[in-house]
Amino acid sequence: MPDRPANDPQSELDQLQQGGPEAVARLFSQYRERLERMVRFRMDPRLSGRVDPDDILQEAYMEIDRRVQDYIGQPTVPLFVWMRQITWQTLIDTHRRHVVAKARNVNQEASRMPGAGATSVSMAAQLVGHLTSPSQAAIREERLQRVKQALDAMDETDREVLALRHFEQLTNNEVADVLGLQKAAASNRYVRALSRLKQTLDNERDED
Amino acid sequence: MTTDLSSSDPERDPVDVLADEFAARYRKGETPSITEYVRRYPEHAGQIQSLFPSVALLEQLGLRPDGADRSCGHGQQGRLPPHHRLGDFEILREIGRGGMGVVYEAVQQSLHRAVALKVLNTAAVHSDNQAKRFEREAQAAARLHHTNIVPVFGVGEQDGLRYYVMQRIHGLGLDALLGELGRRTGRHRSPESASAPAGEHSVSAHALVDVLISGELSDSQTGTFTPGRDDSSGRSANVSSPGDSVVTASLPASGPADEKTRLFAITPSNGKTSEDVADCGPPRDIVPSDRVPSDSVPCDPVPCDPVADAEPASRPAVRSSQILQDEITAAQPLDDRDSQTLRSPGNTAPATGGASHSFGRRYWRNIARIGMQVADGLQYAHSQGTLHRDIKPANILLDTDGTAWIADFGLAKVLEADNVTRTGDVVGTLRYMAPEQFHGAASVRSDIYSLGLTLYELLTLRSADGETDRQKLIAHKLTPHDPPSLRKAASDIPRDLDTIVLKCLAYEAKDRYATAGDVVADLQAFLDDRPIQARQSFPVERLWRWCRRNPAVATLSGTVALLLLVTVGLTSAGYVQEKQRATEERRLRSDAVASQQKAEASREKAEDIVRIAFEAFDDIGQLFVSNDVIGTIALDDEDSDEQLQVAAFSPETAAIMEQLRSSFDKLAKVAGEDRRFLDYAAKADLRAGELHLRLSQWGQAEAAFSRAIRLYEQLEEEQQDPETRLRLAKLYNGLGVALVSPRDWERKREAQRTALSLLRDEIDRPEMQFELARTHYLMGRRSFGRGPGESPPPRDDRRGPPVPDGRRGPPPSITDRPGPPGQQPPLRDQPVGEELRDRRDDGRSYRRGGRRPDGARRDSENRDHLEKAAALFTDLVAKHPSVSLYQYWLALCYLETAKQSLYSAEAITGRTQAITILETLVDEHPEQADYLYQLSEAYALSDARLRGASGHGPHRIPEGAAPETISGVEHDLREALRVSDELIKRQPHVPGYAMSNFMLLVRLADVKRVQKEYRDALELFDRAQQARATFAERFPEMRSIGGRPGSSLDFMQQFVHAHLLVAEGRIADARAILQPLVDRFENNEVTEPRGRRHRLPREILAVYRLLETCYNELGEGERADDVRAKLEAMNREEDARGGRLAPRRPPPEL
Repeated sequence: MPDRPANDPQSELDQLQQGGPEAVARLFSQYRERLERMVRFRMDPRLSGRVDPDDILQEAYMEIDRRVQDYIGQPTVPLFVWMRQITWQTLIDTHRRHVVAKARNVNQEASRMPGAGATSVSMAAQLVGHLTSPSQAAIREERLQRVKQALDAMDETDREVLALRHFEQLTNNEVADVLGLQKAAASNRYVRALSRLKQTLDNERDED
Repeated sequence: MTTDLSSSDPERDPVDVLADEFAARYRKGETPSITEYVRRYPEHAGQIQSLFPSVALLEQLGLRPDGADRSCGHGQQGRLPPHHRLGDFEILREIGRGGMGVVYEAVQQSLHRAVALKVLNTAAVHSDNQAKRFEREAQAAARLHHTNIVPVFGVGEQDGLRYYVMQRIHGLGLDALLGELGRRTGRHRSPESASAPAGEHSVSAHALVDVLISGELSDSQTGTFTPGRDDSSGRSANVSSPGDSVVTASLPASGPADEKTRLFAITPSNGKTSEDVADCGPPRDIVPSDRVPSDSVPCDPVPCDPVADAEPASRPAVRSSQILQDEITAAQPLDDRDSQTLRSPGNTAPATGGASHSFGRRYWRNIARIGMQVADGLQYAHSQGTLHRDIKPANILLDTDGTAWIADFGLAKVLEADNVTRTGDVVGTLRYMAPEQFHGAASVRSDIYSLGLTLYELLTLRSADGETDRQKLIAHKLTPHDPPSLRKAASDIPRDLDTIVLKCLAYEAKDRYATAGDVVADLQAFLDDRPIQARQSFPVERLWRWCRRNPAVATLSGTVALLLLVTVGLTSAGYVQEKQRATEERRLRSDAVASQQKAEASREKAEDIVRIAFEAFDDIGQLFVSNDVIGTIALDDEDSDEQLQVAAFSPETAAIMEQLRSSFDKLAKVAGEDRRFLDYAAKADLRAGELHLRLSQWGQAEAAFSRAIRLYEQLEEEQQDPETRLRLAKLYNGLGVALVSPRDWERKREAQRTALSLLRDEIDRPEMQFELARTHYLMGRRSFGRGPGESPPPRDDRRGPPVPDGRRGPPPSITDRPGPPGQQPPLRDQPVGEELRDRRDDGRSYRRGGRRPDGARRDSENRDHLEKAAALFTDLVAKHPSVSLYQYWLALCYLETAKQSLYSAEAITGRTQAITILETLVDEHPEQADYLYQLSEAYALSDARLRGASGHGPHRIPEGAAPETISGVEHDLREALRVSDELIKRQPHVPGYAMSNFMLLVRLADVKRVQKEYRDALELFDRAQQARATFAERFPEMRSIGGRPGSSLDFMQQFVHAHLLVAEGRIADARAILQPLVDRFENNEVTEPRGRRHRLPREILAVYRLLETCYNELGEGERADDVRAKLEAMNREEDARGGRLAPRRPPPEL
């Protein structure tokens, strides 16, 4: 299964044009699980206590609904990729409201605002977030540090490719769309990123 | 699932496509095998082998552990079917499952031996480097040859599966034994007991536990059971095992298999306890029975089964398979049971009501033997440079011979570092982890810690960290703490064993045994009834650490002090012993260098003990004497004009101080015998003296200070050291305070002068300046019992006993001999408390009494000192505005000035300054009772308002005082009362505070009386009576203080009541109160604690007057005249005395 069966882009567009708000809702709910995965993965851990991913998704959905005509007029990327972009933007806005505004005067954590460069941070957070207790965090710290360091040491695009493929579980084509790459390039990039990750992990391990 | 690469997107890298599929299978919950992909796509084998482990890693990291994203665990290989071949090994059946893999019973074909085979998860070893590392660790483990370590035969790899080959041990994991023990005591209510476990397993665990409880394990490293009782001997006696306890690698056991052996060899245990497997791994997974394919159960006899070989007739393999069925169905509840055993001592303990299980001496000793064996194995492994890192009951097997085996050496490290252990797997291990392992730092001492926890659990059948919740467990682990004594759980556990286990469990690694060998030695010592090494220093260290870690708690908790006290005896004794031993050794073998060194070391240890103990005590002692907080509160006694000295701390605190004090005395004595400890001795004496002072033990305080001073004089060469001079000055000041008797007046002054001279040159250091200021303050303070922390008013011996007997009181003079007033000198016969009044009398009393010719001179001297003290304190406050201690002392200084210049403008200024400072201090440090108390004191100094007033006792409103003056006093007292109420709310157990509060109520009531607001006055008297009752109830030993029924308080209250009645026109009722009062007075029945009633007459005159009014009102002229006559007689008496009793001339008012 090289690619997840995706809706035919043209059919999606038709649905949107003809189906109105119901179609938007239906299509959104089709992608909802994947969008939620993205939100959970990308969300700053400091937000997670205060903001439910559902809230982000709801807000994103309203924004999608509002801007769907723009998309129909100029569908440059597949629908899922577009929805993901909007959701991502919503997440950034929420983050800005909740974390950055509050952190500005307190500390200089604003630099941790999510962005393309924050993938490795998100990854680390993803890993930490999965641990249900501080102890496990402590136990796995070494491993986390390694993966994080390995990811940090990587090219930004490589890192993003890995994140999109494995944490957001996007298909190669979707990754290509999100990153604005050719499919072949995205695929090569992915394989290259994998081998770099392996290299880095091996090197670090050998250093021990 | 096969991907047709040719038909897939040609733009994509084929490896990408495969990886995508590989990842997708992970997400579906499968555990795709890398080998499978290599086989299917040989053209990409290199990349697959190289990259797919990373894909697996990323997928594992990305997946949610809560199972939301997956239906079942990943990273687990599927079950290998029976007869599956892994290299030289043929799988027989699965016997355990853990985070790092599955354990199988297998047969090594070439050697025809039974082994335990641990097949690791693919995820556990996902890269070449990791594989190498795993091999390295396994090799290290394989090099370990020790009676108590499960031999590792080797590692291997087949079809991408890595495995670990171990000797099969015929025994049970200690976790299983814990389960059985728990069932017996009812401590662990396990599902197993309800679900009828496989019978034979029960028998084996049962048998082993029987031996543990009533048998005797051998003291040698290879344990040998000695049957303990007849009914089990049938089985146990036969346990003597086929061949050695170490099953040889070459051949299956070949001896005549007795029943017992067979049971052990064949009976499958539950999955967790793996009766005959050398692995128990990190916590096993629950294997839901519905996921276990039924066809995985081996059905055929296994020809190489040792027991089968030995006794084919019993067809053990068939039985085995049947039992295995049971095992599988029981797996779930068993695992539950087991995890409960480990996880929830908290909820099982209540079931037994906290009663300690009691298996008795044999059991303790058997556990100690197991501990010794394990420690011995650890010691060996450590000496080979290998840590275990995962010691826990499940990793320790006890075989049928009673030998303990450590399993899984080296595996933890591989896992910890690299494996993606799944969430649940970590938990079981967590419980036994040393705190530092959470930070990734494992050491020899971490293994010792884990062993300690294991022993703790075996001995108490509960976990040392009683947390059931995982998060709480972590938090608990990461919070510095000492484990509770085992004796809390099982009170009859021998103290030494308790100490040994607790020493293993010290929170700080450095406080544990340094080596496992030390554990062996102490356990051996315990078994031999010899003294253990851990004993002597341990409690002190422990307490010391406790104090270090909990300074705030230590400050508050008298328990610490008490605990320390318990140990001080021990320490001193230990020190003395050590010292004696050292001396002895030196004497006996003074020529032997080695033994001298030993003696030296012993002595150094003794010194360490003294030093540690001393520092601990000194810190505690500091708490009670710091800031020179007041020890006693001097109160003007309403009844006697004497000053009461009431403790400014609770009786509990006093008890602690007393014990502390005696400890310091002891320490000083012990240390004083050795010149090297002179300094400690002096310090201890200083503390002891300070504590004596606070406890009003003047003589002993004096002795302690004098002793310390002498000690310092021995250290003459150090006299120039400023530190020493400061300490000496403190000692001299302490001595000065301790000298309370007027006879010691000169010595007191001398001590103070010495302190002064020691400090005079050197006030550049704040602490020196502070002490100097303090010296001036002490010198300027009104001498003899007039200040905080000082003595009760000493009796002036020159003038006889201060308490005149009743015959000399005024009433007889009135009733019997209304004659010459000169015969009644009670008012003049006041030996103490005189100064205040004397001063108030503008020196008249000096003239009259002529008793203090030097009084005026001393007054000005006092004032000089106080001024100097104030200047120095002011300077300190300016330089160190943040140090509240300096401000506090400045306030005390102002307060003292005010007290000494009552009725002058100076008094008002001083008092205001003191109040200002103290208000701020109270705001900033609401927790400081001293500040509150002094603030209340300052407010209560209302006499400052009565400038120029005289002819009345302290705190008495002069008759005819201006109303605004009186209302000023009232305001002061109300403020004082407000603060005081706050104070006793916080510190209800301090007698001094309670007493002070009571006094304020009485004074305020009296003010209301003077204001003729009788209703308010009565109300306040009621409150005062209540306060007194509470006081008497709370401090029974001080019942007599603060008035009793019949005392002047009652007298005054009834008098006020009568006033009220008169004002209301209830004359008869008033008379009914007044007449008995007069009668009692005349019959000398007004009891007063101290027998002196210099105040009463003024009020009694008023009583007479009021009574006269009543009789007149009631038309009983005759009686009125009678009263009148007595009144006049008393007035005449008073005239003769100089008009003090009933001043005719109103005193000048403000």
